Amino acid sequence: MPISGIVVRCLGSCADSVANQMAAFEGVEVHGVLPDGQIIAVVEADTVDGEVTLVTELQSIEDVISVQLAYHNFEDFEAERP
Amino acid sequence: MPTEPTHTDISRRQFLKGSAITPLALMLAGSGIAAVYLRPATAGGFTLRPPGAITEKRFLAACVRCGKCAQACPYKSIKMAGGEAGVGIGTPIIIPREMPCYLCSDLPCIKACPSGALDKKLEDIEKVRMGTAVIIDRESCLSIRGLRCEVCYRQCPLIDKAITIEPRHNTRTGEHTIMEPVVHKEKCVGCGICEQSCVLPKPVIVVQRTVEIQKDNYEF
Amino acid sequence: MELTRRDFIKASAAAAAFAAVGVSVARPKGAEAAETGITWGKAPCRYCGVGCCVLVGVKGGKIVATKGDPAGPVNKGLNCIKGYFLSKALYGKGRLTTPLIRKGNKMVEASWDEALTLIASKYKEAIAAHGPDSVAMYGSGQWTIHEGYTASKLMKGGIGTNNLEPNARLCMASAVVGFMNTFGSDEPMGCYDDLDLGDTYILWGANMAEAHPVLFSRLIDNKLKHPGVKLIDIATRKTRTTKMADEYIAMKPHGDLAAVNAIIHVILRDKLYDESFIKQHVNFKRGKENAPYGLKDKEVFNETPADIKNLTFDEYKELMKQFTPQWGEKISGIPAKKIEELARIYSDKSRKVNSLWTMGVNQHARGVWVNNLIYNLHLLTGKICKPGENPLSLTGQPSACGTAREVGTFAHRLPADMVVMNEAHRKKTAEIWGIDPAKISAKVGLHTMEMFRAIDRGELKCIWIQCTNPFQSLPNVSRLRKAAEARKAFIVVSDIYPTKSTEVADVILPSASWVEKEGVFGNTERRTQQWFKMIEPPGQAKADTWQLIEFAKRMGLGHLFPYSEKGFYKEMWEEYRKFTIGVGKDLAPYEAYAKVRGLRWPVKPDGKETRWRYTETDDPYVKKGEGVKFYKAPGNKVNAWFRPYEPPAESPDKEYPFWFCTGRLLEHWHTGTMTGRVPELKRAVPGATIEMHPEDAKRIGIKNRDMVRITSRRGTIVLPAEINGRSTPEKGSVFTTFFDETKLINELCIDAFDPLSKEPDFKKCAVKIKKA
Repeated sequence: MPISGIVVRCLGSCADSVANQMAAFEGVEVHGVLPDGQIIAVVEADTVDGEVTLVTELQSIEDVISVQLAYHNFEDFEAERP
Repeated sequence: MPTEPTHTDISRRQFLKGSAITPLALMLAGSGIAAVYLRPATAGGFTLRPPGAITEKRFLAACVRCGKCAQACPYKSIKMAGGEAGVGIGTPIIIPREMPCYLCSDLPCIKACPSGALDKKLEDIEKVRMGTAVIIDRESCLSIRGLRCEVCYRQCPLIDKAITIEPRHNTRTGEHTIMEPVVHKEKCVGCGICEQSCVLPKPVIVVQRTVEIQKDNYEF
Repeated sequence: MELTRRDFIKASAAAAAFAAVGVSVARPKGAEAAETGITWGKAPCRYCGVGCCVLVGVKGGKIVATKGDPAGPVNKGLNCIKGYFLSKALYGKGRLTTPLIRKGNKMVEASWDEALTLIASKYKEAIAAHGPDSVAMYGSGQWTIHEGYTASKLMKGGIGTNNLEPNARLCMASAVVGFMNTFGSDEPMGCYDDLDLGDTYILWGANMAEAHPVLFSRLIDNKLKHPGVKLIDIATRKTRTTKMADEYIAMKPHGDLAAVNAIIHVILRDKLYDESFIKQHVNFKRGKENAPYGLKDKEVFNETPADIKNLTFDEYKELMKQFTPQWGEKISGIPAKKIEELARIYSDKSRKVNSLWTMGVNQHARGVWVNNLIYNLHLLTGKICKPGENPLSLTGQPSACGTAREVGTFAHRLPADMVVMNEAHRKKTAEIWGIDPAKISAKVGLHTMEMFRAIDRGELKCIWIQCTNPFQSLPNVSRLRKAAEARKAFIVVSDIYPTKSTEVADVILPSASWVEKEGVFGNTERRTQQWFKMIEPPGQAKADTWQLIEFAKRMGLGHLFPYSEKGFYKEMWEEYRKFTIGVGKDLAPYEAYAKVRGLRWPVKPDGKETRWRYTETDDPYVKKGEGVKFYKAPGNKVNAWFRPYEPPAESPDKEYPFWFCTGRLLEHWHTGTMTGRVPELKRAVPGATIEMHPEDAKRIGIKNRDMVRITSRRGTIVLPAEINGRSTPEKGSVFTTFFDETKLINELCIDAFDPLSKEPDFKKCAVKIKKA
């Protein structure tokens, strides 16, 4: 199960609205919005493909300039499930 | 930024949520279309069209959204744009990451086009100009970081023409070569095979709008 | 509140994202633990013979990251694209996690005890009825040294058969015989430093740019730094190597055998040789000729001392007079003028000349001969055993040298250059193993091709295959697959994924891979690299050593492996090391390897490695003042062999007009069982293609990506055409890769092999081509 830390850049004035739109996606947690329009979020998906789709969708949000990967983890939590 | 609008001023996201339109072309072309097409933001709003597409503004006017080019494509590289394409809804697009253009030498898509949106005068695949590949993220490119990747180069159908390797000394290790892929826009047809084959989760090489060669009197 | 592992990861993901934008934030407790919880360990790369060093990041029992090891002398932190995705080779879909036993057409889950007891009973049954030579083991140049050593001791010292082979028979055997009959000791005198120090590099049929990626990057850097450096690519197809070479010389398949002879002819004719070097170091020999091609079952060909004739230098010169450059041109396709030129380059006193080769020379119906001839070039000109000036045989597997060759897991070998035919060698081995010398059979076991043919003939009853995929990789593989499918032998396969070989197995055993166990590999340049176990193997998967020893216990041979559980790797190493001490192959104590990124043997008494063998500048076995001393060769003199031209086993004709050649590419490795499960590599290169010359394609009416049917006398496949792509074969020949498990390309290959090395010729057979 991949988990990634991402940095989303958008126009400073739109950051809040973009953050809200992002938070509406399942598997996205917004951890912080910086004044210069950068949004820090954690993305979680079942598969790497799912994650790529999710990131691609985030990229399509109006006013989003870019989505960058800052951290990527792909370990399996299977063992942890009850 | 592109001068021609590729979507209306309705927010793409809103459009998707509210859209109940199923364009005729979508039904014609079958599977791939239902998938929402979202080009990486890095493509700069540029839409990759099939080979021979005339300039975007004229293309949008000329294309009758019949889907025949998509049907003719043996690799199903050509898909029909969905609602997110705004006024371009139902027009043919290529999403390199899903399936790039493999440059059939007989150009069946152009032959199938009834409207002239794909230019029938184009007969030589090397003359195709769908766009130009650009390394948009040099910092992430594995080859530029000194690793022996160069997948885009080796997969390029115009290897050593559209993409060449510029070797240079790796100052960090002191004993290896950085083999940097370099795109030559006068040769690149914009097929997107490099974008498709890039091994990173976000391709660092992406097809963008071709920027005209700016001629001056310096020759070197 | 207790944080779960997922929370840890998420917290550190967010922290890393914040750090990326330069903002430090108060992080949830535990985030740091998750981040700093990565432990980094060192290991050599799992793939090719280059031996790049990698760092493996482990957290919570999983590999979470890998990266090139900046401290690695081979790669200084770099990797190729396979190495970049290294950890994914372990986490691909479908890892085998439990033993499986065939019940009719189904493979049924079983316990280890059931599986091992079944295997032992089958082996015992076969041995009781047909003797120990009715069972076999087929291993790998990807086996760790410990795995190969365990197998050798078990088969040769325990069961009492020499039916033990590594898949290295398919890649390095010709190089081995070349080293042995020329120098009296296996493995190169030079090392990778020669790639930095020389100024002339002649590649004989090697696509180094793709098959040895990081090494090639090092070689090209020498060229960038020193404009005088010359790289000459002599090959049968234009490759990415060609693109970076200063000169490409097109050669007909099998043409090297003629070309090198013609070059030697010119060196002798024009007295370009180093007479004093020859006088001091070289004997001339003529071997057995008119050799067969191994196409008939049980065909025997050996070059015994009785077959070998001593020649004087003058006699040798006389014999070589027939191989004129004009003759060389006719056979090899290399223009006579070029042959003259190459002779001058090889003998140019102002040039430091290196020859490099791999499978083009080794997978060759006369592979040993070409190895011998390349050595002749260096011996005649004295361009050997000098920093920056050596012949260097490149290897393809991570421990073809360390395991297959040094441990000696071939049917005729024992550790450290020893052979089963030699009584003194058997005695020494038995002593170290603590067994009766009579237990080790003097009879050479079945070599790989005969081993699998013996299954078809019903003579071999049991075979255990570990860490390799012969039912995809052997030539003329359909005969062998049919035999296996007809259940002519009891087949055990230990692997980490389902493969074309597990498909035909009676028992499948799940193995631990790479850092799921402790191990040691030895690379091309005699570099021995150790790593520790870093993670647990999945499910019930077990290390190959464990599998073999548990089997040994059930065979009543457990006493051969008296190592303690805790000191297992060290104790076995120290036992193995006894073979290497004092014979010029000295390995260091086990602990020494834990601290370094490998050491090149012979390791000196002071713990330092040896870069160049047989020379006083570096080798501890050569005293100051002795200069070069080939101390492993009888009388300290090496052999320059007279090896004439003999044609390939099969050549194109009217019906099958094309040469067919197989090989590697950069993105995938071997039969693709690992790289094929890395989505990024699969995306980059999804399947095999057939490379053709554009004029041939045009003539037959084939366009790029058209489906093409390729048919040989043995099989037929359909592949998409690749024209003007990464490589272009010369006219009249086609090339494909063997990684694609959906295409059994080796069904087309002829099972002809070199009569001396028994290594099959995967590079040459005849096919016909048509549009599918």
